[in-house]
Amino acid sequence: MQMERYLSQVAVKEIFPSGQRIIEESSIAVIGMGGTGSSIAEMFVRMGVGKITIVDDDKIEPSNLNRQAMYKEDDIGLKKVDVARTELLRINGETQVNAIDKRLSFNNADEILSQVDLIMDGTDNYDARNVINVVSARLRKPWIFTAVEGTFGYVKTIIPGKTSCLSCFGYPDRGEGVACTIQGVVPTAIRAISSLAVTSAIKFLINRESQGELVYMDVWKPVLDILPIPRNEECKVCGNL
Amino acid sequence: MKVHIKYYAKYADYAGTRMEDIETDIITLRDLLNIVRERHPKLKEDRRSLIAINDKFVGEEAQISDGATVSIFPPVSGG
Repeated sequence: MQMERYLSQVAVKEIFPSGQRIIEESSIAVIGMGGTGSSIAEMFVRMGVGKITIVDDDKIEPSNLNRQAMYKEDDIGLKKVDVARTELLRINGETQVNAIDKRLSFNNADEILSQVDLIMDGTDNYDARNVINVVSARLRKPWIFTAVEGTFGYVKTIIPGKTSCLSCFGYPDRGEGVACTIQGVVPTAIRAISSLAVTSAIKFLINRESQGELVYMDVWKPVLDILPIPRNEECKVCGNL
Repeated sequence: MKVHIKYYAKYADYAGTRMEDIETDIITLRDLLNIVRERHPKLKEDRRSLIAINDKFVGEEAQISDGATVSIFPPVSGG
């Protein structure tokens, strides 16, 4: 069943059966199961990723339903990771789904992230991204940064020791940020940024390289810019790698 | 000298334009940003912005030269 299931994507020369095999052998972690995280997880599982670890301690709220993948009205009040795990296994029973009902912190990040091949950022605050940035550098784990607000967002592949990290270009390293219900976000921007992030991840898993540019996309204008971010040798997080 | 300023996302709304030129004699990015923030005070709302000179991200201590393009992005936390 598997090859038939993935026929349309293995027909793409950038993936091919050899790339599909890599996807199926990969283990990823998705930190945060909100708008971007749930979309990213669903896409990865549909594409056949071998193992996925999803991490979040939130419950589903009515204000999530306009943009967050997989959650439905009946799920309000339930834990995001529990609902997501069930839905992901319904989408693809071949994928191993590991659901962790916790908020990522410096206390648990090593244990959660040490066994995965790639980390996907689905977080919604500076504190959590700083945990990913610092711990991924220490563990030498590649990760994909995403952030969305209003009609636009960012995506960047970060390979510790090879590309710049978040601290290299002055991205804030602390703070809760502003809730989506206050700052506002267009659901289509979340899906677009999530799609770019998964594409970046698949490219990295198959080709094992990236220049680590910052991709800026605004779905309303629409605009897409790609800006190089050189490594900062004095970066306090990755300068010594 | 002339410096081209590009505003991204909500900053374009704050500035009322996506791009403008500024004539100035200053050479540090920090001083240039002070001018820009005085010109468009809502830019001061973010405690930190992401800045690129000629498409490369730099710190505020960077120097600018005639004809440089300075791109200013808001930091974003949502997801």
